Amino acid sequence: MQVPHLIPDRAPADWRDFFALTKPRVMTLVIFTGLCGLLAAPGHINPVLGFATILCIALGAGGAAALNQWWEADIDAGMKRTAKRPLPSGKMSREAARDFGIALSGFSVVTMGLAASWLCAAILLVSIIYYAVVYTVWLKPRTPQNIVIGGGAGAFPPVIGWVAVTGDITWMPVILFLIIFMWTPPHFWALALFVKTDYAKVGIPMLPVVAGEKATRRQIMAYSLLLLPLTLFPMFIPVAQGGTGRIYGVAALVLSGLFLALAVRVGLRVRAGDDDRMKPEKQLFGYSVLYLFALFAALVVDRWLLMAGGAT
Amino acid sequence: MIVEEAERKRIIAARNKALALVLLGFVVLFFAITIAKRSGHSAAETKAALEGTTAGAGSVAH
Repeated sequence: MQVPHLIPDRAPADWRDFFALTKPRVMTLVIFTGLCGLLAAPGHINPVLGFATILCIALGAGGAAALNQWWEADIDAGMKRTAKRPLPSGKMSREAARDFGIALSGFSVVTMGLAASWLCAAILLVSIIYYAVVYTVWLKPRTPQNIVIGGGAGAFPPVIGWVAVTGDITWMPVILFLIIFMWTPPHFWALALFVKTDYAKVGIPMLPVVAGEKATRRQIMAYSLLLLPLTLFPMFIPVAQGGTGRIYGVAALVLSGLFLALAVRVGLRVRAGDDDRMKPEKQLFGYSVLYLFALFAALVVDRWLLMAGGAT
Repeated sequence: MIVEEAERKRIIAARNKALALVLLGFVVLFFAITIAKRSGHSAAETKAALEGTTAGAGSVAH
Protein backbone atom coordinates (compact mmCIF):
# COMPACT_ATOMS: atom_id res chain seq x y z
CA MET A 1 0.00 0.00 0.00
CA GLN A 2 1.30 3.39 -0.92
CA VAL A 3 1.44 5.83 1.97
CA PRO A 4 1.03 9.49 0.94
CA HIS A 5 4.04 11.62 1.74
CA LEU A 6 3.06 14.34 4.19
CA ILE A 7 4.78 17.69 4.57
CA PRO A 8 4.18 19.74 7.73
CA ASP A 9 3.53 22.98 5.92
CA ARG A 10 0.59 25.05 4.68
CA ALA A 11 -0.59 24.65 1.09
CA PRO A 12 1.23 27.00 -1.30
CA ALA A 13 -0.76 30.01 -2.46
CA ASP A 14 -2.96 29.30 -5.45
CA TRP A 15 -3.06 31.68 -8.45
CA ARG A 16 -6.58 32.59 -7.34
CA ASP A 17 -5.17 33.90 -4.06
CA PHE A 18 -2.82 36.20 -5.96
CA PHE A 19 -5.75 37.36 -8.08
CA ALA A 20 -7.83 38.04 -4.95
CA LEU A 21 -4.94 40.10 -3.58
CA THR A 22 -5.49 42.64 -6.36
CA LYS A 23 -9.05 43.45 -5.07
CA PRO A 24 -10.70 42.69 -8.44
CA ARG A 25 -14.04 44.28 -7.51
CA VAL A 26 -12.45 47.62 -6.66
CA MET A 27 -10.35 47.29 -9.81
CA THR A 28 -13.50 47.15 -11.96
CA LEU A 29 -14.34 50.76 -11.09
CA VAL A 30 -10.73 51.84 -11.56
CA ILE A 31 -10.58 50.23 -15.02
CA PHE A 32 -13.92 51.68 -16.02
CA THR A 33 -13.12 55.28 -15.03
CA GLY A 34 -9.68 54.99 -16.66
CA LEU A 35 -11.27 53.68 -19.84
CA CYS A 36 -13.85 56.48 -19.83
CA GLY A 37 -11.09 59.07 -19.45
CA LEU A 38 -9.36 57.54 -22.44
CA LEU A 39 -12.50 57.30 -24.58
CA ALA A 40 -13.77 60.79 -23.78
CA ALA A 41 -10.50 62.60 -24.41
CA PRO A 42 -10.19 64.64 -27.61
CA GLY A 43 -7.84 62.91 -30.02
CA HIS A 44 -6.91 59.42 -31.10
CA ILE A 45 -4.84 56.66 -29.64
CA ASN A 46 -3.76 53.42 -31.23
CA PRO A 47 -6.10 50.71 -29.83
CA VAL A 48 -3.13 48.57 -28.76
CA LEU A 49 -1.59 51.47 -26.84
CA GLY A 50 -5.01 52.26 -25.37
CA PHE A 51 -5.40 48.66 -24.25
CA ALA A 52 -1.89 48.66 -22.76
CA THR A 53 -2.69 51.89 -20.88
CA ILE A 54 -5.82 50.41 -19.31
CA LEU A 55 -3.99 47.18 -18.52
CA CYS A 56 -1.25 49.15 -16.77
CA ILE A 57 -3.84 51.10 -14.76
CA ALA A 58 -5.35 47.75 -13.69
CA LEU A 59 -1.97 46.22 -12.83
CA GLY A 60 -0.91 49.33 -10.91
CA ALA A 61 -4.17 49.29 -8.93
CA GLY A 62 -3.68 45.56 -8.29
CA GLY A 63 -0.12 46.11 -7.10
CA ALA A 64 -1.18 48.91 -4.76
CA ALA A 65 -4.01 46.71 -3.41
CA ALA A 66 -1.55 43.86 -2.75
CA LEU A 67 0.78 46.23 -0.87
CA ASN A 68 -2.20 47.56 1.10
CA GLN A 69 -3.14 44.02 2.17
CA TRP A 70 0.48 43.16 3.00
CA TRP A 71 0.65 46.15 5.37
CA GLU A 72 -2.81 45.63 6.86
CA ALA A 73 -2.82 41.84 7.26
CA ASP A 74 -3.22 42.07 11.05
CA ILE A 75 -6.01 44.65 10.80
CA ASP A 76 -7.82 42.61 8.13
CA ALA A 77 -7.68 39.53 10.38
CA GLY A 78 -9.67 41.39 13.04
CA MET A 79 -12.47 42.51 10.74
CA LYS A 80 -15.36 40.29 9.66
CA ARG A 81 -15.50 41.92 6.19
CA THR A 82 -11.81 41.24 5.42
CA ALA A 83 -10.93 38.17 7.52
CA LYS A 84 -11.27 35.82 4.55
CA ARG A 85 -8.70 37.63 2.40
CA PRO A 86 -5.65 35.52 1.40
CA LEU A 87 -3.28 36.91 4.06
CA PRO A 88 -5.44 36.87 7.20
CA SER A 89 -6.84 33.46 6.27
CA GLY A 90 -3.28 32.08 6.08
CA LYS A 91 -3.38 31.10 2.42
CA MET A 92 -0.30 33.15 1.59
CA SER A 93 2.84 34.42 3.28
CA ARG A 94 3.22 38.16 3.85
CA GLU A 95 6.50 38.18 1.92
CA ALA A 96 4.83 36.67 -1.14
CA ALA A 97 2.15 39.39 -1.04
CA ARG A 98 4.73 42.15 -0.64
CA ASP A 99 6.91 40.88 -3.49
CA PHE A 100 3.88 40.41 -5.72
CA GLY A 101 2.73 43.98 -5.00
CA ILE A 102 6.15 45.51 -5.68
CA ALA A 103 6.63 43.49 -8.89
CA LEU A 104 3.17 44.35 -10.21
CA SER A 105 3.54 48.05 -9.38
CA GLY A 106 7.03 48.32 -10.89
CA PHE A 107 6.04 46.44 -14.03
CA SER A 108 2.90 48.54 -14.56
CA VAL A 109 4.78 51.85 -14.25
CA VAL A 110 7.58 50.86 -16.64
CA THR A 111 5.16 49.38 -19.20
CA MET A 112 2.98 52.50 -18.96
CA GLY A 113 6.02 54.64 -19.70
CA LEU A 114 6.89 52.56 -22.75
CA ALA A 115 3.36 52.18 -24.09
CA ALA A 116 1.67 55.52 -23.33
CA SER A 117 4.02 58.20 -22.02
CA TRP A 118 6.32 58.85 -19.10
CA LEU A 119 3.89 61.50 -17.85
CA CYS A 120 1.24 58.76 -17.56
CA ALA A 121 3.80 56.51 -15.86
CA ALA A 122 4.60 59.29 -13.37
CA ILE A 123 0.91 59.81 -12.55
CA LEU A 124 0.47 56.05 -12.12
CA LEU A 125 3.48 55.91 -9.80
CA VAL A 126 2.11 58.80 -7.75
CA SER A 127 -1.27 57.06 -7.47
CA ILE A 128 0.34 53.80 -6.29
CA ILE A 129 2.47 55.59 -3.67
CA TYR A 130 -0.54 57.70 -2.68
CA TYR A 131 -2.63 54.58 -1.97
CA ALA A 132 0.00 52.16 -0.63
CA VAL A 133 2.02 54.63 1.46
CA VAL A 134 0.23 57.96 2.03
CA TYR A 135 -3.22 56.42 2.63
CA THR A 136 -2.48 52.93 3.96
CA VAL A 137 0.59 53.54 6.10
CA TRP A 138 0.24 57.17 7.10
CA LEU A 139 -3.34 58.49 6.96
CA LYS A 140 -5.58 55.51 7.65
CA PRO A 141 -4.35 54.66 11.16
CA ARG A 142 -3.93 58.33 12.18
CA THR A 143 -6.83 60.55 11.17
CA PRO A 144 -10.61 60.26 10.71
CA GLN A 145 -10.17 62.39 7.59
CA ASN A 146 -8.13 59.52 6.07
CA ILE A 147 -10.59 58.78 3.30
CA VAL A 148 -10.98 62.45 2.31
CA ILE A 149 -7.29 62.87 1.49
CA GLY A 150 -6.64 59.22 0.64
CA GLY A 151 -9.59 59.18 -1.73
CA GLY A 152 -7.38 60.99 -4.21
CA ALA A 153 -5.63 57.69 -4.97
CA GLY A 154 -8.70 56.33 -6.71
CA ALA A 155 -9.21 59.55 -8.66
CA PHE A 156 -6.13 59.23 -10.86
CA PRO A 157 -7.28 56.58 -13.44
CA PRO A 158 -9.40 58.92 -15.64
CA VAL A 159 -6.54 61.43 -15.58
CA ILE A 160 -4.13 58.75 -16.81
CA GLY A 161 -6.57 57.63 -19.52
CA TRP A 162 -7.06 61.22 -20.66
CA VAL A 163 -3.35 62.09 -20.65
CA ALA A 164 -2.54 58.91 -22.60
CA VAL A 165 -4.56 60.36 -25.50
CA THR A 166 -3.83 64.08 -25.27
CA GLY A 167 -0.37 64.11 -23.69
CA ASP A 168 -1.44 67.04 -21.50
CA ILE A 169 -3.09 67.69 -18.14
CA THR A 170 -5.86 70.19 -18.91
CA TRP A 171 -8.97 71.32 -17.00
CA MET A 172 -11.13 68.35 -17.99
CA PRO A 173 -8.99 65.59 -16.41
CA VAL A 174 -8.62 67.77 -13.32
CA ILE A 175 -12.42 68.02 -13.06
CA LEU A 176 -12.76 64.23 -13.48
CA PHE A 177 -10.20 63.83 -10.69
CA LEU A 178 -12.17 66.19 -8.44
CA ILE A 179 -15.46 64.39 -9.14
CA ILE A 180 -14.05 61.07 -7.88
CA PHE A 181 -12.25 62.87 -5.06
CA MET A 182 -15.51 64.42 -3.87
CA TRP A 183 -17.50 61.21 -4.46
CA THR A 184 -15.22 59.03 -2.32
CA PRO A 185 -16.07 60.34 1.20
CA PRO A 186 -19.87 59.90 0.99
CA HIS A 187 -19.38 56.55 -0.79
CA PHE A 188 -16.99 55.23 1.84
CA TRP A 189 -18.66 56.75 4.91
CA ALA A 190 -21.98 55.16 3.91
CA LEU A 191 -20.14 51.83 4.12
CA ALA A 192 -18.32 52.84 7.31
CA LEU A 193 -21.65 53.58 8.99
CA PHE A 194 -22.80 49.99 8.69
CA VAL A 195 -19.42 48.34 9.41
CA LYS A 196 -18.55 50.79 12.21
CA THR A 197 -18.10 48.12 14.86
CA ASP A 198 -15.52 46.33 12.68
CA TYR A 199 -13.36 49.47 12.41
CA ALA A 200 -13.73 50.23 16.12
CA LYS A 201 -12.60 46.70 16.99
CA VAL A 202 -9.27 47.06 15.16
CA GLY A 203 -8.67 50.67 16.23
CA ILE A 204 -8.94 52.36 12.82
CA PRO A 205 -10.12 55.95 13.41
CA MET A 206 -12.83 56.04 10.78
CA LEU A 207 -15.08 59.10 11.07
CA PRO A 208 -18.13 57.27 12.53
CA VAL A 209 -15.87 55.71 15.19
CA VAL A 210 -14.11 58.94 16.21
CA ALA A 211 -16.57 61.76 15.52
CA GLY A 212 -19.76 59.74 15.85
CA GLU A 213 -22.61 58.95 13.52
CA LYS A 214 -24.23 62.38 13.59
CA ALA A 215 -21.07 64.15 12.38
CA THR A 216 -20.52 61.50 9.71
CA ARG A 217 -24.06 61.87 8.42
CA ARG A 218 -23.66 65.65 8.23
CA GLN A 219 -20.42 65.30 6.28
CA ILE A 220 -22.00 62.81 3.86
CA MET A 221 -24.59 65.48 3.07
CA ALA A 222 -21.97 68.23 2.73
CA TYR A 223 -19.79 66.31 0.27
CA SER A 224 -22.82 65.20 -1.76
CA LEU A 225 -23.94 68.83 -1.96
CA LEU A 226 -20.52 69.87 -3.29
CA LEU A 227 -20.47 66.95 -5.72
CA LEU A 228 -23.61 68.04 -7.59
CA PRO A 229 -22.34 71.38 -9.03
CA LEU A 230 -18.91 69.88 -9.60
CA THR A 231 -20.33 67.23 -11.94
CA LEU A 232 -21.83 70.03 -14.08
CA PHE A 233 -18.47 71.74 -14.65
CA PRO A 234 -17.60 69.69 -17.79
CA MET A 235 -20.44 71.52 -19.58
CA PHE A 236 -18.54 74.80 -19.25
CA ILE A 237 -15.34 73.47 -20.88
CA PRO A 238 -15.04 74.10 -24.65
CA VAL A 239 -15.92 70.97 -26.63
CA ALA A 240 -12.57 71.07 -28.46
CA GLN A 241 -10.84 70.77 -25.10
CA GLY A 242 -12.96 67.80 -24.04
CA GLY A 243 -16.02 69.61 -22.67
CA THR A 244 -19.46 68.03 -22.79
CA GLY A 245 -22.93 68.87 -24.06
CA ARG A 246 -26.50 68.71 -22.82
CA ILE A 247 -26.84 64.91 -22.70
CA TYR A 248 -24.12 64.66 -20.08
CA GLY A 249 -25.52 67.73 -18.30
CA VAL A 250 -28.99 66.21 -17.93
CA ALA A 251 -27.54 62.85 -16.86
CA ALA A 252 -25.24 64.51 -14.31
CA LEU A 253 -28.10 66.59 -12.90
CA VAL A 254 -30.46 63.62 -12.55
CA LEU A 255 -27.83 61.18 -11.22
CA SER A 256 -26.30 63.70 -8.79
CA GLY A 257 -29.74 64.89 -7.71
CA LEU A 258 -30.70 61.34 -6.75
CA PHE A 259 -27.33 60.91 -5.02
CA LEU A 260 -27.99 64.05 -3.00
CA ALA A 261 -31.53 62.92 -2.15
CA LEU A 262 -30.25 59.57 -0.82
CA ALA A 263 -27.45 61.36 1.05
CA VAL A 264 -29.90 63.79 2.67
CA ARG A 265 -32.04 60.85 3.75
CA VAL A 266 -28.98 59.28 5.40
CA GLY A 267 -27.84 62.67 6.73
CA LEU A 268 -31.05 63.50 8.54
CA ARG A 269 -31.62 60.02 9.87
CA VAL A 270 -31.14 58.78 13.40
CA ARG A 271 -30.32 55.11 13.93
CA ALA A 272 -33.34 53.27 15.41
CA GLY A 273 -31.20 51.18 17.75
CA ASP A 274 -28.56 48.46 17.72
CA ASP A 275 -30.76 46.19 15.62
CA ASP A 276 -31.25 48.89 12.93
CA ARG A 277 -30.58 47.26 9.56
CA MET A 278 -29.18 50.51 8.11
CA LYS A 279 -31.12 50.15 4.86
CA PRO A 280 -30.79 53.80 3.69
CA GLU A 281 -27.01 53.68 4.28
CA LYS A 282 -26.73 50.43 2.32
CA GLN A 283 -28.85 51.93 -0.45
CA LEU A 284 -26.63 55.01 -0.64
CA PHE A 285 -23.51 52.83 -0.80
CA GLY A 286 -24.97 50.62 -3.53
CA TYR A 287 -26.22 53.61 -5.52
CA SER A 288 -22.89 55.43 -5.20
CA VAL A 289 -21.16 52.62 -7.14
CA LEU A 290 -23.84 52.64 -9.83
CA TYR A 291 -23.70 56.45 -9.89
CA LEU A 292 -20.03 56.64 -10.80
CA PHE A 293 -20.43 54.03 -13.54
CA ALA A 294 -23.45 55.86 -15.00
CA LEU A 295 -21.90 59.33 -14.76
CA PHE A 296 -18.72 58.32 -16.59
CA ALA A 297 -20.70 56.32 -19.16
CA ALA A 298 -22.81 59.44 -19.84
CA LEU A 299 -19.62 61.44 -20.29
CA VAL A 300 -18.35 59.04 -22.96
CA VAL A 301 -21.69 58.82 -24.78
CA ASP A 302 -22.00 62.61 -24.83
CA ARG A 303 -18.46 63.10 -26.11
CA TRP A 304 -18.92 60.49 -28.82
CA LEU A 305 -22.17 62.08 -29.99
CA LEU A 306 -20.52 65.50 -30.06
CA MET A 307 -17.60 64.14 -32.06
CA ALA A 308 -19.91 62.25 -34.41
CA GLY A 309 -21.80 65.50 -34.96
CA GLY A 310 -18.56 67.21 -35.92
CA ALA A 311 -18.59 69.57 -32.97
CA THR A 312 -14.89 69.01 -32.37
CA MET B 1 -1.62 22.29 8.74
CA ILE B 2 -0.58 19.07 7.00
CA VAL B 3 -0.66 19.14 3.22
CA GLU B 4 -0.54 16.11 0.97
CA GLU B 5 2.28 16.28 -1.52
CA ALA B 6 -0.07 15.49 -4.40
CA GLU B 7 -2.19 18.52 -3.51
CA ARG B 8 0.91 20.66 -3.14
CA LYS B 9 2.16 19.59 -6.58
CA ARG B 10 -1.25 20.27 -8.14
CA ILE B 11 -1.36 23.82 -6.77
CA ILE B 12 2.20 24.58 -7.88
CA ALA B 13 1.56 23.15 -11.36
CA ALA B 14 -1.58 25.29 -11.74
CA ARG B 15 0.34 28.35 -10.56
CA ASN B 16 3.17 27.67 -13.01
CA LYS B 17 0.71 27.32 -15.87
CA ALA B 18 -0.94 30.62 -14.92
CA LEU B 19 2.46 32.32 -14.74
CA ALA B 20 3.47 30.91 -18.13
CA LEU B 21 0.26 32.27 -19.66
CA VAL B 22 0.82 35.68 -18.08
CA LEU B 23 4.42 35.80 -19.38
CA LEU B 24 3.28 34.76 -22.84
CA GLY B 25 0.64 37.48 -22.70
CA PHE B 26 3.28 40.06 -21.86
CA VAL B 27 5.51 38.94 -24.73
CA VAL B 28 2.58 39.40 -27.11
CA LEU B 29 1.72 42.74 -25.48
CA PHE B 30 5.26 44.11 -25.83
CA PHE B 31 5.43 42.94 -29.43
CA ALA B 32 2.11 44.67 -30.15
CA ILE B 33 3.22 47.86 -28.33
CA THR B 34 6.39 47.98 -30.42
CA ILE B 35 4.45 47.63 -33.67
CA ALA B 36 1.87 50.20 -32.54
CA LYS B 37 4.55 52.70 -31.53
CA ARG B 38 6.10 52.48 -34.96
CA SER B 39 2.76 53.13 -36.64
CA GLY B 40 2.05 56.33 -34.64
CA HIS B 41 -1.18 57.53 -32.99
CA SER B 42 0.56 58.29 -29.72
CA ALA B 43 -0.25 61.06 -27.25
CA ALA B 44 2.67 63.09 -28.58
CA GLU B 45 1.16 63.02 -32.07
CA THR B 46 -2.28 63.99 -30.80
CA LYS B 47 -0.83 66.86 -28.81
CA ALA B 48 1.11 68.06 -31.83
CA ALA B 49 -2.01 67.80 -34.00
CA LEU B 50 -4.08 69.80 -31.50
CA GLU B 51 -1.38 72.46 -31.40
CA GLY B 52 -1.20 72.49 -35.17
CA THR B 53 2.42 71.43 -35.36
CA THR B 54 4.16 68.27 -36.48
CA ALA B 55 6.83 68.34 -33.81
CA GLY B 56 5.54 65.28 -31.98
CA ALA B 57 5.01 63.11 -35.04
CA GLY B 58 8.66 62.58 -35.80
CA SER B 59 9.52 61.57 -32.28
CA VAL B 60 7.49 58.37 -32.42
CA ALA B 61 8.77 57.31 -35.79
CA HIS B 62 12.22 56.49 -34.45
